[in-house]
Amino acid sequence: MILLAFFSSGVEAGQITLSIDDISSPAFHAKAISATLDGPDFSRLEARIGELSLRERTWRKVRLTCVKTQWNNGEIRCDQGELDLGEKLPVRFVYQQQSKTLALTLDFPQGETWQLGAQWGKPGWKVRVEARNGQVMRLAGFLPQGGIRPTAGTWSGSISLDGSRTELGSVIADAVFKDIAFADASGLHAGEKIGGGVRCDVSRRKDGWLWRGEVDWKSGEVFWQPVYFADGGHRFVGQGSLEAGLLRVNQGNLRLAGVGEAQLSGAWDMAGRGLTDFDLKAAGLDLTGLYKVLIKPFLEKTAFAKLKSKGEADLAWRYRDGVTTEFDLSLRAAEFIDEDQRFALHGMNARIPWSNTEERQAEFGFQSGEVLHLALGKTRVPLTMKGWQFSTSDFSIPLLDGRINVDGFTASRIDGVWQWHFSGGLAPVSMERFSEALKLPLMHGTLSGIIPVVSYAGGNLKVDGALLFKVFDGTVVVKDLSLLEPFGRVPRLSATLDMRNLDLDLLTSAFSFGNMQGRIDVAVAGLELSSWRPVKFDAKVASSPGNYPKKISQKAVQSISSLGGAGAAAAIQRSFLSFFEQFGYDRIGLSCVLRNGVCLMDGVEPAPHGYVIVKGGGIPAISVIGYNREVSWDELLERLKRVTQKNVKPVIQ
Amino acid sequence: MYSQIFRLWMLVALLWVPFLAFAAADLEINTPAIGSLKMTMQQRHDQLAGHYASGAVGLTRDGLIAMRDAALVPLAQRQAVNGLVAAENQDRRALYREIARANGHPEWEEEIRTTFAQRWVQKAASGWWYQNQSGAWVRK
Repeated sequence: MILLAFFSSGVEAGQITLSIDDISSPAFHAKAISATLDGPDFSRLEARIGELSLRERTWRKVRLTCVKTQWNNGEIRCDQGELDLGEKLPVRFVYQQQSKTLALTLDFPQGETWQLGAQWGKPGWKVRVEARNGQVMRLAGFLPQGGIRPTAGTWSGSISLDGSRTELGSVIADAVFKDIAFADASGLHAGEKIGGGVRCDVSRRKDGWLWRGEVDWKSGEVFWQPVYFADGGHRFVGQGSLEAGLLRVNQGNLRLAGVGEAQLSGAWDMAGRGLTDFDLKAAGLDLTGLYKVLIKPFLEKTAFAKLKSKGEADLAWRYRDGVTTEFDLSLRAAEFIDEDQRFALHGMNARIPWSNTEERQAEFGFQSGEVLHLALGKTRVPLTMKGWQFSTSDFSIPLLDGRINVDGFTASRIDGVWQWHFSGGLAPVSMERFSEALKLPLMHGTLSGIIPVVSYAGGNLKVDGALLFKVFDGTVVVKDLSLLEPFGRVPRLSATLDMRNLDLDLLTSAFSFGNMQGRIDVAVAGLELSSWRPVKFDAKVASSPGNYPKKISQKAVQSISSLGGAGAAAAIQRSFLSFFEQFGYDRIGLSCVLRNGVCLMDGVEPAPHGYVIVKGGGIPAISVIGYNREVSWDELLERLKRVTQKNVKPVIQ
Repeated sequence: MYSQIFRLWMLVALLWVPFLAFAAADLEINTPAIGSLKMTMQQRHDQLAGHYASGAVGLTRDGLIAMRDAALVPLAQRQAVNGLVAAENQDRRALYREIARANGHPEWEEEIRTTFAQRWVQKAASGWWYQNQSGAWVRK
């Protein structure tokens, strides 16, 4: 263990000098060592070490002095010495020559004491470090560079090591901590005011080490990017081994305050592969704490980043050679509510026993829920899973007083990217309920439709075929619908809309637009929305072909006129036409080609300096002419908002 | 000789083509998506300003922001500030992409990002930290 490179000694009158060039061992290295004894009965000791290295830490010009050294039957005792490690510290020690034992005590201010007990010789050596209120920062120098560094706090307890001439045999530690703070250089792994205790017992076996340990984290906060623990109350007890660079937990129990308790085992490859095997079993986990502490930080960029959650979960997870091979998740009476009120699920139950090789059946369902304020009813979804391929048989979700039918939903994950598709339909939902839920003006009729194949791949959602809805006694067909990055920061939608035979009476009575009777067709070609706002489209509203009553109220005339600017409406209000409540018309037509935020408008036919929006017919008849061909889209929306607000009343002068 | 000079001029002219093309990019272009991104970034700025000033968060040379010194943020707020940095970067990436798209040249995204990186630094208040060309943090 010890290599003496050079040894010399000398005795002069009243002085003994000893010098050693170099001592090295697996644990420490010392250079230029000298010791001098002089004074009465050789009671004055001065020992110097030119350079002392212990693990990563090095001290230079270390000096130990003792003015009153006692020599007695092979015992050297110093009750009042001084150790200079750059900082001068009071030191006491006793050395027993025969048993080769050293007991050394360092007394720091404010009741801080460190004791070192060492014994060496045959068959091996023992070292015990004890501390009372020991500043953990003194240990910083012994830790590897670039990792976590203690920055404050104290510890009390002991660390015992023993070994043979060539190797370490065991380490036993039992310590309590108080107000510990630590951080790495980036500050992304840090803790403050941590109190608790650590006990561990590590012993060498033939091919490696066996360990048993217990960590009791009683108080203090820790941020371990991206997870934050606001307080303690957590505990880990485990045992395992360390061999061939593989740290194993054979049996572990982890208790996280506010979350629950888990049994775990696993292996960590310290050579760089990281976690290779892992098994976890947990029952009765509190979903509130589980989501808040462990799940939410990983969902920051998703739609599930701001949830209120409740309920219980059981989880079994098996991970082998860097791959999840099985998990079994159960949710009981769970509740997830989006804080931005986009969706909510209540009374959710699920059993998802997944395997990466075998086909398994899963099931999940909820008692009620809502999406964008539309109420969802009790739903149950049976699911067949085979690895990362999922499929459901047909199921339906009650929506308001109707239901969404989902046929043949399948999803798969290929090379880490999700894709899914389904088809289905919307069974009639009353427009009254629909408009009420969305806080829209009360509309009448029903909403129903067919949903052709909807597919999602590579972050884009596409609808093959035509979505068909029935509203306002007419039909709405949505074609070529695609959504790029629907869950990204800038969702982009493109589609073509074709609405036929919409009942104007139903439509205008929903908004405070003024009553109109008749039917219209609306065609929106090349619609492009970006962040759900229109960027481009070619829209055209025109009277539907066919015979039907065509009437337009004075208020509706004013509303339409207002869309073209205030001037036209005022002119009508002041004319004799204000005596009539209703007018006949022949055709209605208005088109808008939206480009670069400007709507290029046109009507049924040209008119001097403008275009005809409502072409009169019958008695009394009225024609409405638009003069502004280019209107800012934002301005147009503002005008539309003004004329459809309920509190706007026609002004008859 | 004449043809050599001509070729040289042609080469010089060709080398300038990409820069000339990019010089035409309208960085102030506005679309609904750009407007919406700018608005959320503006709202978030109020929460980030204090962290720019303290030096906890700095402007990176690639037109994004980064946690420069997390230790300047109280422990309990580090997770939230990390979230703000991630959200801001998501918006900044989307903004550069949208400006390039709105200019009709999605391939200009990287150049636009580089130009914005310089703009952010120019607009930064005194005392804020930014990364210089070699990636070192510098205080303005």
